[in-house]
Amino acid sequence: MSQAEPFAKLQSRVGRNSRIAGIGFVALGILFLLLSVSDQFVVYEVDSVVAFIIAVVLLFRDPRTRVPAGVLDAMQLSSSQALAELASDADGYVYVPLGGDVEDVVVVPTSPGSFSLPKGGLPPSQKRITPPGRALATLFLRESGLARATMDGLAVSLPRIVREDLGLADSLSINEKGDRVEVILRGPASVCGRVSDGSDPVSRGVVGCTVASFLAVLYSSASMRQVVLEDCAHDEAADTWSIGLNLGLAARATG
Amino acid sequence: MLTLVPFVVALYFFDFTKFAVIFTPSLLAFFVTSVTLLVIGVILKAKILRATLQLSSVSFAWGALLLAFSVAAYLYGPYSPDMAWYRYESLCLLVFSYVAFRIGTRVLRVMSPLLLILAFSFAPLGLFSAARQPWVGMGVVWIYLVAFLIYTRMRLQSMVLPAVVAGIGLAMWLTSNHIQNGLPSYLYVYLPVPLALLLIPKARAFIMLPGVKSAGKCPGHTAQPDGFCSTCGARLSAPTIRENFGPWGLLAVAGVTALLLFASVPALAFVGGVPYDAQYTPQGYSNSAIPATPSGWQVNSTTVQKFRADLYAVVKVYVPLVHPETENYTAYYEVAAGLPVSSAPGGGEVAGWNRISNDFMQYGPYQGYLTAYTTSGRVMLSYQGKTQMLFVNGGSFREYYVGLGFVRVFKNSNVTADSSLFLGDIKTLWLPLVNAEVSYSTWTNFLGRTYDGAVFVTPFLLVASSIGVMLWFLARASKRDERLDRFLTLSSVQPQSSWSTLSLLLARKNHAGTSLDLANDEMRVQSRDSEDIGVSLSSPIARARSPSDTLMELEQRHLVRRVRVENGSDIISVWQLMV
Repeated sequence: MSQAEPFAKLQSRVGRNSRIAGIGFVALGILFLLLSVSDQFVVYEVDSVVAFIIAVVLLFRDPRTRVPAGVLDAMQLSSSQALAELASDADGYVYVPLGGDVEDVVVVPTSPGSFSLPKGGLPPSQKRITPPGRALATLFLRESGLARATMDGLAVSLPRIVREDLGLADSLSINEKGDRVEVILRGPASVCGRVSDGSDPVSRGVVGCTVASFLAVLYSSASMRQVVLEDCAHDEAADTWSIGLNLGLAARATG
Repeated sequence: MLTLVPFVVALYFFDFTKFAVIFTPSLLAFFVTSVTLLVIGVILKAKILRATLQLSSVSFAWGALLLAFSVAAYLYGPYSPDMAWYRYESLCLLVFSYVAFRIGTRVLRVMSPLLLILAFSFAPLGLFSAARQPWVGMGVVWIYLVAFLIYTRMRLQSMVLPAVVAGIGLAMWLTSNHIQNGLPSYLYVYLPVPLALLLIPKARAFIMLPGVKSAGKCPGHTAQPDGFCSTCGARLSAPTIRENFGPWGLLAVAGVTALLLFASVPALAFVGGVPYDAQYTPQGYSNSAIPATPSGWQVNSTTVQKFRADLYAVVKVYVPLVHPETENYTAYYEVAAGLPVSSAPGGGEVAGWNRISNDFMQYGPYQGYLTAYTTSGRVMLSYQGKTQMLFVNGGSFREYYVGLGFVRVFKNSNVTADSSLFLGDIKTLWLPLVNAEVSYSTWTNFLGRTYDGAVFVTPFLLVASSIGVMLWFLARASKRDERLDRFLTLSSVQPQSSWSTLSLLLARKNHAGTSLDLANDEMRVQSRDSEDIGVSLSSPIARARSPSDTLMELEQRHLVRRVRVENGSDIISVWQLMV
């Protein structure tokens, strides 16, 4: 039994109490209705109506906590901006897998003029940033039941998990061409937090967008290669976000 | 518990003699059986009960609820078919409420099946007809067995001894019912004899609850403030927590005792077709018939009359205790649904008498006329008044007309002096009694209005309370689902080590286990995985600390909590998911 399995079982129990209670209230409503018909007692009549209303509430109310997409957008916008400003002296950002787990993927600012890090790992003094999408990547693995990210696993699980479990988009498609992967989110629940106008120094490399970062962490970990994110491209007419990932040099596991 | 004794003595002093009915042949078998089962139960869970007593925390709400039931049984008892039974149950509930107030509710929860058996140690046979009593008796024994089975958590081995005792008890009771005068009392002493089986080691091992099932040897006990090891969950020592005192509970019991001792509600009541000044008290009601006899006087004759629309009509002749031949008053008292129709000479013409005056007079609440009649050498004075009063009749409040009259014949012609004596007498002798009646009537009015108010608001209260209960269920069901969703949301973003620990805990029975259990589970999972890749791992005990630290972190995040559960014959402390 995988570690995710007990959680999946528990997940299926969300809403069960409400459903059982809802059915119970329907039965109670019917009982009160019969009693009110036979006894003509106003208390039974009122209780019957109330029991049916409660049953409807219990049966049709979603007990899961929902956060409006606007709230997510607002949170993402400011955190993206803050992260970008903190690393604004950099020329770009590279996602580097320091180990086999998604938790080992870090973001490393690159100096001007260099696209990627030298083969041979990171020097100890190199600045490392926790990717904003790392926690989402961890959640993805837990939801999918995968022990670690693999390219095949992502191809199979990513569209389903993003749509059904994470609810980030209506659908997702992946296009792989050589060292470039393009992920297209259709009907996204949240917009990319990064505002790119070309003049912003951060526009040369995306670090702050949580969804893009989440994909970069997954692909970096799955491929064990450095990943550089392209700017997210938004097609308003089609309501799609296109996120490009360039897979770079293979990484060597270092501390 | 010693502080409870004065309250028990004060409240039940006159009931103790009634409780002696338990020791009669018809009920003794139940009492001895239940007490024996109680002893067996305490022996089986001695360690658990001792630990629970130390760890219990008081609850005013539970104490107040149990006290309310106790008071209800206490008050209802005197008006029920079996006062002794209700008073006995009231006593039991008072003791339970006192435990909740001042010792703790946990011990009550653990002992609840035994307490149910104790409550039925006085079998309620008196509440049922003789034809039904055999079935009730068997039902009570059935309650004993089911309660004990729940107490042992469905452990059939531990049911052997209670079943034997209950079986013998039932047989003795049935036999006793078929023998003249029942079985001799000394025979019931032999009922607990099967307890001697516990002296035989093999039988004891078979019947007693098993010891604590440990997940392995604890690498090093670390005692928590509650006295349990944080690693293996075993109970190491007594808790270092403050002893319960429960001052508010003590005050509540004292206050209720005082109220029950001194509370008394007067009312006018019809009992058996006769009007009474009744005093309703927790001990029952006492009453005195109306009209009352003034002190220093006696009733010479009583004649009950019957007129149309009358509920009660009586004519009493009062004479003094000393020299009864010197004077007499004839009193007419009548209670009627309509206007009273008295046979007394009240204002009208009386054959052989001349009416010389007829004056309106207010006498207490009565409005009437004082009429003077004369004839040769004699004067007859009559007062007839009427009013309306509320009576309790057959459990409902009814307003009736009440007529009161006095007549006296004087053997002289001095009307003025006779009138003065007549008025002086009825005001001195009967007016205090009439005023007392008014006081009873006032209380009856108050009770009646309260009753009417209660009847009026009952449908609203029923609607409000039923809707409240349904909304409470709605909130509970929603809350449980929301809590589960919140747990899943929170747990999904925990670090890997915490998530793994939660996963291990989730996979366990009842989602609970000790740190040691989890360390072993973790090792088992890793061993299974290592078999696939051929890598050996260290012993489970060496890794036991890791889940413990993780669990403490998860406790701070409100994902897990420590709970104490029964494990065999003792209690252990385990971690449990907060879902």
